[in-house]
Amino acid sequence: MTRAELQRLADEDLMPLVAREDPIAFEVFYDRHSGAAYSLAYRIVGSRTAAEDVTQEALLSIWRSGARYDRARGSVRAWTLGIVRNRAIDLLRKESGRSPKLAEGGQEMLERRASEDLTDAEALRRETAQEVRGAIGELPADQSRVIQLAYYGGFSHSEIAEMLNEPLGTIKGRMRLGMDKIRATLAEAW
Amino acid sequence: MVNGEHPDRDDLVAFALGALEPAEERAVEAHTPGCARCTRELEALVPAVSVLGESVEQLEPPPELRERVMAEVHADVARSQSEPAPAGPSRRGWRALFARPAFAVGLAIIVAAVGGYVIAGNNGGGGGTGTTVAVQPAPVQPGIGGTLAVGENSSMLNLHGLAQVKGREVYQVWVAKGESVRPSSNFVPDPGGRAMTAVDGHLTSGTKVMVTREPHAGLTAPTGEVLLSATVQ
Repeated sequence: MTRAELQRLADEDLMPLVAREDPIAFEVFYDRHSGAAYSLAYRIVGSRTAAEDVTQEALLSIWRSGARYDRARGSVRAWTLGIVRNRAIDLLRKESGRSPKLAEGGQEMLERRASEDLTDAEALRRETAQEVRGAIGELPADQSRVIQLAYYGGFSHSEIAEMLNEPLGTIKGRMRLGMDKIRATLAEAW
Repeated sequence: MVNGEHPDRDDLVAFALGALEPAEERAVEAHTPGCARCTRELEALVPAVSVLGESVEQLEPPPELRERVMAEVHADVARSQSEPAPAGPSRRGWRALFARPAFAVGLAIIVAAVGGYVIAGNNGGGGGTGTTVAVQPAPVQPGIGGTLAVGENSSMLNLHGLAQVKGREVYQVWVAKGESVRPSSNFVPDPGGRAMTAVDGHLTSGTKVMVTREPHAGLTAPTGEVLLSATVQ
């Protein structure tokens, strides 16, 4: 297949070619998902160098493990970001201090992604992501905090309860309520 | 959550966020495949969790990262196309695992794949004959031992002498063929240090099955020491 033909494939049809070790198919996969992967890695680990390491290891592990994507687990993007998140949390745990990145201010300025070259699908994703970011920002602070500690910090609900000196049931309830609100926002956006 | 019953919704949400304690996580993982209701609930949570990952500020990765990644990819392709495969540049992470001494001295389970499906002397599945198994003690984890019964479409690892895991740790099975390593099943031993786990796919001659101990499930490349390995003859 030519590069142009590969670029027209949906993610779900591209992945079997990646699994068959087609380097051009992987290049197309990289170009589609590396930005999101790097952005999430940076959000979790908080440094450009570490984010590059995490992104490189996560994406190469997809290449080398035969890209075992399973449609039942969601989109290719969701699956990829799950792998990136796991790698990033592993790195946080290995380092001497875990520091959940709750505040986005004060971090080094990195190049923002130019929006001119986005495909329609990517533009829609960005728009949805912005809406969700807005929704997370509008969540009650206590719900937003526990979700961020769990997802971006890798803390268990028990650890969060201990950190915030709150009952476990309270933490679990806030997590559920917050995620329900995010789901509702998504339902409206779609 | 009470064992054997449905996890409550709070636990399913926490599971989707990766926020359960290891024992709770294992309980949900054990429960969900056989439960349509909980599976539906988790599937409904996937988009919301995914969007958490995508809702971060989008940044452009540096061009050098693309160059490094694609250089590794092309090196892999070149290696797999040449006969014999040349020694490549030193790699990070899992690639280095093959050169680590622990791999060479890990427990070796030698299995003759003759087709059919055998577990501990029972015949089943495709009606094959039997397997030949040799077990050697492993210095890395003394007392570990077991068998690999190779079948037509799946195989079975039957192990004993496993140390208990802590926290989110699991034992992870990997299947290696040539330069490719893929994750297979993961498991935790019972209190007696025993475990049985399936290895999916048809294992051809030269395939290597390895077990490592990992900090949690879901990894796509080994990070731990190889505790045992078996090469299909």
